[in-house]
Amino acid sequence: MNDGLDAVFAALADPTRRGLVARLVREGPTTATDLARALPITRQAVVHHLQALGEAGLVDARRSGREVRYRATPEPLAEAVGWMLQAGARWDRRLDRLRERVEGG
Amino acid sequence: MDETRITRTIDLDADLAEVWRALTDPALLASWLGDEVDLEVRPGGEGTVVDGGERRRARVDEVDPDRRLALSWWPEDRSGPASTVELELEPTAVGTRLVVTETLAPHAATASTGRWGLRLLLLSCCLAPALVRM
Repeated sequence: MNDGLDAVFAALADPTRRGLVARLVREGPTTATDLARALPITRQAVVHHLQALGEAGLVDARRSGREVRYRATPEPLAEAVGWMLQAGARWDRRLDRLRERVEGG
Repeated sequence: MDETRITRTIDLDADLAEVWRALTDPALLASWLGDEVDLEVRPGGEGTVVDGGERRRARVDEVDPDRRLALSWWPEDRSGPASTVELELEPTAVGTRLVVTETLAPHAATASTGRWGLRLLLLSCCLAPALVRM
């Protein structure tokens, strides 16, 4: 295992962090203040969670003027998920045909 | 390194030689690998595989009789990613086990890291449980 995997595990094991990622995906770039408003935790605690998500590569932060907006960065994940679903489904079909071929007699 | 890959394992009720033949005999290979398969199975052999409406070029990278076949393939028009495919056979008490591994070529990943496999699994589990159950 490596640090990257550990960071991802740590980041997403926490339900608050999962909720933050889900909100950023749904609502787009958001400040920590806005994120904290809907949660029973402080802005500082939200920033701490966002930093952990950032270290895992799931979120990035962009400064615009005086505020920092956090954004989910799931595009590479979405591409990888898409590729895996398609490649997996194709192999399932191929292996069904192979089984028929070699077991079918 | 945790790469973007998929794995399938199936146990076939057929002996090793028969399964190997299904992987390497052009007519047999064409009967299951895709809708249209024209591939010469020898190291360096090249050809075309049409499957699911996608036309790919393929190259045979490794042929280890009765054990392992490795190939690379990529969309003929290069609009999609390249990947490698490993087909590994081993005899079992009742037949033959086939393990298929398809790995997205590292340069095909747009991400800055190669750790997407686990990340996407975890992210899928929390964001799109319906997707991973498909």
